[in-house]
Amino acid sequence: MIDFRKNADRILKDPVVVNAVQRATLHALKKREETIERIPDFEDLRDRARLAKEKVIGDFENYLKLFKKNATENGFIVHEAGDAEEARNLILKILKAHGARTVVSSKSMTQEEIEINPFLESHGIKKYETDLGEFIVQVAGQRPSHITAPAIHLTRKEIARLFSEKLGMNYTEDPEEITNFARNFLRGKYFKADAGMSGANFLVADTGSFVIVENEGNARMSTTLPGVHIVVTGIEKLIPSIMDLPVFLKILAPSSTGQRQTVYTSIFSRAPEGREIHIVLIDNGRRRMLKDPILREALMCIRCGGCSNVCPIFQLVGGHAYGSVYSGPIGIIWTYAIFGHEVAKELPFASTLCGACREICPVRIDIPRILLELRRRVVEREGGRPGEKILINVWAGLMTEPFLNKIGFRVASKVQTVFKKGDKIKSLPSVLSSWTKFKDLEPLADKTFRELWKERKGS
Amino acid sequence: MKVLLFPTCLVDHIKPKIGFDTVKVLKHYGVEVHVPERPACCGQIAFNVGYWREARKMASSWLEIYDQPEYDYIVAPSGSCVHMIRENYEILFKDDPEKLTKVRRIKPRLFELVEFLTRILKVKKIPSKFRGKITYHASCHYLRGLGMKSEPGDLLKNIDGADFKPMELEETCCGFGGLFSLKFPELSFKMAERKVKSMEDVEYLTSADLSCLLNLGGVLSRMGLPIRPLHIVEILAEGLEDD
Repeated sequence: MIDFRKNADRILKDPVVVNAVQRATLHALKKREETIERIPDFEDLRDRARLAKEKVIGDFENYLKLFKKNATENGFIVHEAGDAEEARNLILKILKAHGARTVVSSKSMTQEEIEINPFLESHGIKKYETDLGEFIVQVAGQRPSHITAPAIHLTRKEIARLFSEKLGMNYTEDPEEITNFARNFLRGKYFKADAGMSGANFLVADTGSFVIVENEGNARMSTTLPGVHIVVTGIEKLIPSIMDLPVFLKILAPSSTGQRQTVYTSIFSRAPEGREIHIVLIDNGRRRMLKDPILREALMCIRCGGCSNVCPIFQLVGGHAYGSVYSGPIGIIWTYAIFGHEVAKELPFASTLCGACREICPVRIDIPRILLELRRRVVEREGGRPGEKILINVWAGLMTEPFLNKIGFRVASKVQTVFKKGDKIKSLPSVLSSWTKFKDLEPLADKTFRELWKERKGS
Repeated sequence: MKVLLFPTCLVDHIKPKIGFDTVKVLKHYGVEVHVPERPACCGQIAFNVGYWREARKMASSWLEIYDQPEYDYIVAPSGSCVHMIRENYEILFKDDPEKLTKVRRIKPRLFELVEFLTRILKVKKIPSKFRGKITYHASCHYLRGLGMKSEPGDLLKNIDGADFKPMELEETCCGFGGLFSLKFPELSFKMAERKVKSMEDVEYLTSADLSCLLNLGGVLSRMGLPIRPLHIVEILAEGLEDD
């Protein structure tokens, strides 16, 4: 089970991470604001994107069928994998058929989801991540801490140290020099790699094409230089038509990094002569989400990471606290849906339901509503936590039974004098101690408002 | 105009003064105010952590008390309780047509206090005698749920003796989140601390939700900072003629 509280408390003790995440997320938000100001029809674009995604979800199997048919006609080799294991084996089979020993890959959360890297490693295939952030995380032996910015938890200094220790870079903290070092290191790999891998941002049903957006050019290199290209993608990346693509491209980058557009947008519409392009379509729980009246909305996610950037919890603890490839508010939902109740049952509570995620989501996913539903399911399945259950039941009794309320209030306001210091309560026992650990508590009044009101009316 | 006041459970049991100040402000505008005798909680605290059965119990009781057609409006000095009833009661009672009818009957007549003042009574300026430097915390459900963005600040700015100083993180959650603050005490504290640190050169912190003020106030008090939390109605009602 992912223990969010433990993870978060550990990270909170590390001011370097807290500051790095805070700075990066706030920077992205600021850029988003500035960019959106220059897109007068942004709200309209959000609605149109949402509508397009609703269309897909409303008639999913037909759109998928259409995509498969058109993609095959384009010369792509289309595969389907029901779960992560099937996907891994499929990918391995393709790589083996090409005698692949090294693979270059551009950033893909779906690949992280199916944990392809350690699997390939165990079969003697070395896979290099070529997105700078993802490369850094790979060298550090970590996992991405943000859906679109994998290394935001690391500072320039830490990266400099990492590269000089692990890759023999001459120590420098100059970002440009560090980037150049990584570029040169990876440049060699592209030409030697036997296969390229990538994810996809969009699968276009009516043309059978797939789309990759990126900023570094590494996806273009990874997908075009080696002899075979394997696209690993979730089936939810479908959009109905190429006519919808501009709408999505106009909202994705601003919501994510705050850029007007990503530097590179690649639309793959035909497999070139002599090169194989495989598309591995992954279900891994997505059809289960589709059948779920509440969870299905989360399938609209276009992985911009905006909800992470704006989340006041994420801003403090970053993605690693979520203990999953999918972090931040929408990541809680995805983790619960894909990896299941037992793994993720604590995660839905790691939110104050402040609603900033719903407000920023480019396709208007009602994240707090889904979290509320997941909480309901967790409590229903687990029967609630003992202390918490008692607390809530006592509360419900006190708030619905006038007699209990009167007695309970009297007793509590007497008992509290034991804990009162001046006009505040500074420490409480048991379940309530976690409040007074960091905060003073306002004591109960001597008389309730209703009692006082009645007295005044009477006088 | 007859209004039924929902003081909210926190105000009722912890800060009765906020209830009286609410009455004072409403009376100032000629509103007749009634207060039900029975205790009530909207049930949000249970609903938000997944205890829908207990939430339903409280919500049913709430509906029973407040579904009184002879009152023109129901007013509460809390954005998040109003949000709970307005947005979540229909989810809670989706399979209970009778309760659903009640919810739909009440919804259009239910308002948070400042919302009621600005949207129904069209108040632009309140003759409050409040003096001091105030900053404002936009509580989440109030801001993003009810869409109350500029109204509270506008009323505060228009108080002659008050010096309104918006804080940098006005719209960021204070970290309360109901039982969230008990489940994740350290994180909740850090969220509140971050907000508190963004308040500069102010004497008072105000908001339309007592829950957030108890949270932020608890941190201010523990940190020994000289900023006093006051509910927005305590500021608006200051110096208004009592009945």
